[in-house]
Amino acid sequence: MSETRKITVSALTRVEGEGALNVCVEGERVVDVKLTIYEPPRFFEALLRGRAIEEVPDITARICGICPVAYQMTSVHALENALGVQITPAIRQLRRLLYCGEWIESHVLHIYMLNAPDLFDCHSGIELAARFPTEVNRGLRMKKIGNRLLEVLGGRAIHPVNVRVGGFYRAPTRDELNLLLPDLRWALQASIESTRWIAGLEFPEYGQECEFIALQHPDEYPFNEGMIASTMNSPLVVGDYESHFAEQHVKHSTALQSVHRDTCETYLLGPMARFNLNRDQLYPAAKQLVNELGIKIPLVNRFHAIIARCVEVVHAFEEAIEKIENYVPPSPAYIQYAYRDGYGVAATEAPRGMIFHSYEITAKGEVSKANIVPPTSQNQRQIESDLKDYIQRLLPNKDEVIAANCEKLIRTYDPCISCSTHFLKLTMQRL
Amino acid sequence: MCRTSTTLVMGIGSHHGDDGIGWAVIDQLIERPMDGVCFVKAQVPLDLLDTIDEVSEVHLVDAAVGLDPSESLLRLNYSIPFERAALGSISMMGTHGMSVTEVLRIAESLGVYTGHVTIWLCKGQSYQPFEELSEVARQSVSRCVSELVKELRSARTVAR
Repeated sequence: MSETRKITVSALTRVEGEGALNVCVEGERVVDVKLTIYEPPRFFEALLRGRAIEEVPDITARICGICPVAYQMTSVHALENALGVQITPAIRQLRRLLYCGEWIESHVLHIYMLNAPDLFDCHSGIELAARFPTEVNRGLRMKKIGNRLLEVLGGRAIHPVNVRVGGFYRAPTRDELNLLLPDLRWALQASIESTRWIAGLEFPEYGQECEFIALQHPDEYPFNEGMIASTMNSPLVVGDYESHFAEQHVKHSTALQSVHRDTCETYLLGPMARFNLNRDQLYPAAKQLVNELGIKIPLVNRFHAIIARCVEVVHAFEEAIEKIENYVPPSPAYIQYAYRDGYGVAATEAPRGMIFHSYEITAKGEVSKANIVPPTSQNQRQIESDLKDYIQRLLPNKDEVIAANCEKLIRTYDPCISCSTHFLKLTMQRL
Repeated sequence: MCRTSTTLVMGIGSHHGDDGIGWAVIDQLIERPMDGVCFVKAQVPLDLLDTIDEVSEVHLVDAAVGLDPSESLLRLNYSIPFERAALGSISMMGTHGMSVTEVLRIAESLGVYTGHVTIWLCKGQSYQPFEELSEVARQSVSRCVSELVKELRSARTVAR
């Protein structure tokens, strides 16, 4: 005899955007899980066609209000690749500093307002703030310091406008950056305390084997460049990305989903992937903290992503301090270039994972073709796979318990649906 | 952000059609600078917490759906219980599940004073990426700017 049950979560809270999750259960087996996504994300690539390359960093920054730097950084590196522009080490260091600001802001928001409430069975950041005002105030102050760093480097905190192809429109002065140091030094200690607090909590257990992918660089924790490294496959150069990974359109989603081109296998990006592949490149205080807390690699439990995020915040504050202490303003602030026909690619590490851009440009300095692959699109298929496995384990529970736990699991990936589209209403059908 | 100001006007917005109302209001207000008033654009309402306790007066401008059909603008004083309750019944566009209301409640949970916050809700109609503001939104922006300027100038006149 078949049984039909429906579970509906009308809106998933504490993620960016809206969509739906449809689960089909036959008897005691989860047969299908679909993340249904409504909005067309590819709008931006069409919008870029025919635009001057100088417009690209500012247009792509508008794709996401949470991670604009990731879009700017990836676009300028890809366009510089197409133009044959070599940036100076000083510009490169300044770009890393800008990325530190974005990681801090994005990660701290996720840790304190979106993810940590789940670890205390709080329904919202409001409840968490009432129960743990000291910790939440500490988080908000750290986020503010990240904002300030973005403001100084990017010209403003939202949709920074100082980034350009070849470098920066204006390099900040040493004095402007030095003013940030006292706050950054406080924040480094605060982030260490936060990590100790979070890592000491009880976590749900869930993890299945999967392929983690992140950039990997021989000398540094990855932000702007590196090989595409994997926990299961040989590393790739970024130029080979499009020949190894493909985006698929599925009926239930207007956002494309990425898989390996040859095997259709899924993969997971983000802080856990970066941490698993790059732990040795963490700055000293972050590395020491990892050792002190006994954090083992590989991190597989998806609920431990928050720990990786916390460690990355420590790293970002530490690197920001180091970069400012050794700062020499790049002169010139940007490298001149000449237009030419070309094709360029780049991958950088957005807070949520590796983001890939490719551009074809003309001798008039216009974009003729663009391809943007955000991390959430790449993670979607793996998230569906994880949910299917996780729901199977949860099946004996009541529907509302399953729905609540699915929401918690989804939040651990920090999906940024505005990058790919909007999110989540859950319908569960038991046949 | 507003180190030398006593009043903050924060416009919350994005590039998604009428969700840009808050930014459009700030763009127009910046053209009319006033002593002690800081005009700021924000995308995440949570950014209000960076500044809320640094100023003595906060005006928050955001797009809203579900306003009375005859109204293009609604001004709510957060310190008045009836108006605060009304705020909870109006749908605003927020990211990561955090609307203006939720952010103000977080502030209160943290013991931060919110009685100096006034919320200006402007009617929006369409929220598609990169769309221009709709005619409905333009009208509500224009009215909001006019009312806000009147109120800010009046406050400054009284203060003098």
